[in-house]
Amino acid sequence: MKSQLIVETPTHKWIYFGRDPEKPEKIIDTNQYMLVTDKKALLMDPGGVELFAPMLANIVKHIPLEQLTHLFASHQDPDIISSLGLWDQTLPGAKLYSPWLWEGFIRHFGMSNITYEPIPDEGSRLVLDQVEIQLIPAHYLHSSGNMHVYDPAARVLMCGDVGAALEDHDVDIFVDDFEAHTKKMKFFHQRWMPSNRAKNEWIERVRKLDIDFMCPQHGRIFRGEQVTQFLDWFEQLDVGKTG
Amino acid sequence: MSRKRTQVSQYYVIAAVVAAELNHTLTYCKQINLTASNAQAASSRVGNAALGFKALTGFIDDLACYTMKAATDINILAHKASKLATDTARAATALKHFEKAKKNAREAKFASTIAPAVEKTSQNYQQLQHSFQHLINQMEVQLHELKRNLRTANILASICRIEACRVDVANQATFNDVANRVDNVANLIRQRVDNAIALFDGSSGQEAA
Repeated sequence: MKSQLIVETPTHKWIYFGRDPEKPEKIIDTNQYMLVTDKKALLMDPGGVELFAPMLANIVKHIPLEQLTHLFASHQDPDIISSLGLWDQTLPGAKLYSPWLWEGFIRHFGMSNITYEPIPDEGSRLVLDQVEIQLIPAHYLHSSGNMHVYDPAARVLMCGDVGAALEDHDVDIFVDDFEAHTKKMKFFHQRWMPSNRAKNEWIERVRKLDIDFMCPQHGRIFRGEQVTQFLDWFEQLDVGKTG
Repeated sequence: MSRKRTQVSQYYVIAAVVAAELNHTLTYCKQINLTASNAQAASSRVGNAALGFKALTGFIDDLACYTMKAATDINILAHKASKLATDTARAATALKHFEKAKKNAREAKFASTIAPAVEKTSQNYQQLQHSFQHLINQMEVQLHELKRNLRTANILASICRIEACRVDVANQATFNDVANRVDNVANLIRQRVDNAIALFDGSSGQEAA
């Protein structure tokens, strides 16, 4: 599994994990992100059971395990958080931030030690050491209870399934040719995103944010102008289509 | 540890099957209860000649109640065992993943920080294994005890037949029918209990092999 520093500020850094060459062939490739502050760390969309061991092995390359104090699950899907039962035995004192809507469902993955911190529909804030991040709503994109993470200091948006692309696991982690990349995103967004109204509300919300890095859970990271390019492309895309 | 894991996964299934087998015995116990009530009514109709038989119906009823309680108790143990097996399997899975992570993290700067989680999960696993084994042993003992007590049913059925001889021919058929029912239902229960015991024996055989 690859792990790479995305951005570093005087107070914290964002690290990318993904492109695991040993991943079983038929499971979808996923990106995981970790925000590391002075004494704490937040692991976002930790991934499925199959990814647990490579994730654990890669995390300890960057931080001691006891520093990993917070988990975030944007929604309830297995590729997002089915590893919870294993994290529960690894980090018994950790807190899991996830939409309130999914608590009863996510607990099915096995959770007897970690504390569930339900995120209200309108979103909330989370402070790690002196770093404050925002948990912003992304409902129906694609899950009916869905949250993204925005870090105003590092100008990073962890955008879950929005911006996802379906492609091989050994490609670069950053988008190079935006136009070419749209071909890999179109089907995913049209099929998995159910609502044009939810999409447009999210775009309106996100356009107000200052974003340098937009980090989806599948595919590649958008940088700089590519963020606006993506929002424009997504705005004109008709979603909720099977054909 | 892999042998123990196999053992747990076998017992996982066994606990569920034992619970299913004992569930059947509860239905049979209700049949014995009903038979005892019918026998009591019949002996009241017959009068003094059936006094001995009437006393027996109380024992039949007691046997049904005992069997029902024993089956329910073993069922509770089976459900506990299933839950413990799930927790044990979960801990075993975590240990397997930890091993993989430790292997891949050999060169990692903070590799040693995985150790406390491994240690704690390993202790938890041992404790779960111990509790699980204890529960399984308890189930096996109680199944054998239930089987032993079921012998009483045959004795009661035999005494019923003897008592049937004391009443007039017209009522003998009714009392013999009660004896046959007690015998039949007890055999059905014994069969279910034997099935449950055989599951444990089979798994011990496999382990030895």
